[in-house]
Amino acid sequence: MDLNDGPGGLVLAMLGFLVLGLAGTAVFLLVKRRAARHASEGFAPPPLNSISSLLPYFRAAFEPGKSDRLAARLAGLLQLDAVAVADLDGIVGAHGVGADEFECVRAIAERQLAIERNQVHRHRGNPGDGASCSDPYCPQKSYATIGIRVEGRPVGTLCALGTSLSNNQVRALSDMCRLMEAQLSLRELKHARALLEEAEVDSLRAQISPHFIYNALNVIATFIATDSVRARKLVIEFANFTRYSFRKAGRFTSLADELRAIESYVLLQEARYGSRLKVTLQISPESLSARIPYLSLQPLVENAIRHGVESAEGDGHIQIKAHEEGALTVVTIEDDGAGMDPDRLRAALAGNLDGHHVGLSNVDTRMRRAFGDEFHLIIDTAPGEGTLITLRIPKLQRDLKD
Amino acid sequence: MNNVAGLLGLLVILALTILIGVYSRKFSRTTSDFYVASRAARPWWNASAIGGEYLASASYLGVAGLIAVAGRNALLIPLGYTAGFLLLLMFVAAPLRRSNAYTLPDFAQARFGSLAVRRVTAIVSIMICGTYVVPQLHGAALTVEVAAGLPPWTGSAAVAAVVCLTVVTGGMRSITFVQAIQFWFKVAAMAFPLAFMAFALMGRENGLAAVSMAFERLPGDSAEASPYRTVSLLMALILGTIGLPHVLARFYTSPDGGSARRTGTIVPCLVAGFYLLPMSYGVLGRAFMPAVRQGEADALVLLLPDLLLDGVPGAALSAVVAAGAFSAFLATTSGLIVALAAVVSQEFFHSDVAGFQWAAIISSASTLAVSLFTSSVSLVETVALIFAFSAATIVPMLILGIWWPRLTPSGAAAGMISGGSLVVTALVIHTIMGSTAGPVSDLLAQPAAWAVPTSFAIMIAVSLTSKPTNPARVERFMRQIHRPDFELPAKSHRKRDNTWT
Repeated sequence: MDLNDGPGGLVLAMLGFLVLGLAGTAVFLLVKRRAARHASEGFAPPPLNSISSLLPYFRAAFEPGKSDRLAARLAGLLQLDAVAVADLDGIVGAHGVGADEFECVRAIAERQLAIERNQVHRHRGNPGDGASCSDPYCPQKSYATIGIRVEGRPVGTLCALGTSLSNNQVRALSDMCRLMEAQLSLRELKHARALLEEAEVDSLRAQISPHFIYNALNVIATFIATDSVRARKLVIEFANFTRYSFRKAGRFTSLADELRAIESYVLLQEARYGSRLKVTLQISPESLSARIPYLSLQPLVENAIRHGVESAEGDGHIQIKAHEEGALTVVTIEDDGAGMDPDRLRAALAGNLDGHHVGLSNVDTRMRRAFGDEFHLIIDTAPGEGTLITLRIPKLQRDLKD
Repeated sequence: MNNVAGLLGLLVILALTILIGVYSRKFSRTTSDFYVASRAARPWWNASAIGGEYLASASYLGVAGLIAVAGRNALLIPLGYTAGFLLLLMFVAAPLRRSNAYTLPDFAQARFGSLAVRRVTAIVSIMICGTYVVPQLHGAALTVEVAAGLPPWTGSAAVAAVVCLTVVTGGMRSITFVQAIQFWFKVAAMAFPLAFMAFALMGRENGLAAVSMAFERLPGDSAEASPYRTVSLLMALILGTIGLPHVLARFYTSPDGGSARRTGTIVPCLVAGFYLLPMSYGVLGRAFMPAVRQGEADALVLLLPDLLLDGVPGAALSAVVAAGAFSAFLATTSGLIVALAAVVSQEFFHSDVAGFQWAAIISSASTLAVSLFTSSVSLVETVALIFAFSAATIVPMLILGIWWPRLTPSGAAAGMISGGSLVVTALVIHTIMGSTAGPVSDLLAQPAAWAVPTSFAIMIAVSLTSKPTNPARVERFMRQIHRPDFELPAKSHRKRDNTWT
């Protein structure tokens, strides 16, 4: 039979193609099914609620003790044989990493840090082949390392080891790393906010210092020649006041302690202004134990002295009162000086006007933050009418963190 | 004649209270000396103020009556009232002060960091304060009836109105000085008539002999008395004192933990000294008013001076005793209403001045309403039930909360709720069943002896089975409340010379 003519050859060729095509399809389907089976056997992404339970561990990822637990949780969640968390100095927490494998993991982690790029490294087969591990007989078959970066700088790595790591596992691990980065940034933000609060108190201290120290030392200098006993006392008051206003402990203080510091401050100011400055106190003993934000009254007294004596003619009279009003302690500071224009004051408190009302707005902000928005400063004033500043301090301290 | 003197005494006390209320601001010292201004209330003053707030109707009227009726067993009751302060001093005073908590809900939140426990504590505190006001108003009703011959409700209404007025207008409040004076006035108002009665008895034939025979003439125990009831009552009084919100709020005035402890040391001495007086009245009553029955017994203190002394001195001294009683009701009610209004305003209103005033008005009005629709058989019994409730709720929470770091929020809440419900259920069943002799009735009438241990046990069991929440925070809190106070270096330069100021 001649294959070259007649339809017989054509039919045969078509049959041949058909057989080939069928075989190809079968092979394709087989491979596809195997791949699908492999994937379904391997790993399904963890549910959302188990991820969210990890968030606190993420925030404490590099704290000793906590990172071990994070590694264990991650290994359980992502079905990994071993997980290690490393910071810049080396491994801080590990789960499922035996003593003989530890060196290997350490080497992997350090290598990842050296790369300083935020990417997944995945190795199949013996990691020793990739010259990443010093141990050529490393029992781990494959591993993945992911760098952790916060605000652009590397802070550590997450290493996963398994006999066979699926793509899904590596992807989930990488997602976990992103989540961990977000949580770590959040922690940094909180820390930054605490620093800001401290900086606000620091700014008050800085505001106290230059003028006041200059004037105080000047006044003490004048007394050294004429009245050395008084000069000595003033130096002690000066020391007391600076010790209080530069102390570092705690955001809150008792009214009694703040009053003691104000006493030193007033004595120094009295030395400067002589009999022009008169301070009267009316403090009920019950209110002395009220917890107030540290340095919240002193700037107000300073303000009162400035308005009551410096910018007005004649004597300045300042009254400091404290009493109980139900569950509140109410402190008022009153001067009979020049007063202020309410509109300008409002602008100053809103922060639109910088200048010498920084103390007022600073105290206002800190009162609001410590006790809530309703515990703002109340200022009654008009030009020429003096100024009355009222602070209300709740004795019930709901969210007072100190 | 008698009624006129009594009425006069009561009116004088009411007027004085209002005057003090109006002028109370003057009691803060006006000075230009910081050292004087920043001097805290001395422990002695503070202790007297606690005595002023603590010694109420049950102590002033009830104890003497109960001794006259129930005999020797009742002599243990003042012991219970006093011994509670020893436990308060040993276990609670200083740590509670260092926690910087003003009210019990504040403490609960600081310790447990849980809003739910805070709410439970608030509700329990409100129940204790609210029910504690009622016997004060009952006492006032009785006093008005006996001393001035007026309808009973006028007394309750007068005390509630005056307290409400002074608290709302910024009056008596919790001013240490005023409450301390109230204590010494109570002592004087009982001691003077007692001294006169003693002189009169010494002049009388067989006077002192009758007193010495007081406990032998009548059978010592009434039908209802049983050892269990006495023990349970004592337990309620001793433990319940620790959980009284208005007493605990007073410790906030102390500047630090050590000073709170010094105050706590003086209080039991003052209170013990005071109780000698109502005990003497009780013994005199047993000797000279043998026919007194339960139900009338609470009036004994008011009737005794008139009975033993003739004519004008008797009437006048009766009036003095009645005035002292009224001062006791006013002081305690005022302390309770302030504590109540603080918690109510904090939980349900804004914690500003207006919220506090509304809370004070609502508190006094509602407690007055309750007191008008109820009547009291025995002041001591009523107060003992409130103490039992406090002992089964607040006290386990406070003691375990201060001394056992493992106590969890769920444990505290479970213990307080179950302890409180046990006491209330027992009392309701007892009221429905009526009072009879027998062990079941005993258990229901005085639930403290079994309800308090149960409450402790539930707190411990639930805490051990539940997971501790935020142990780091608890540890920080524990460090804060148990750390000794630091003494700052003495400031020698504070010795003043006035040559240059």
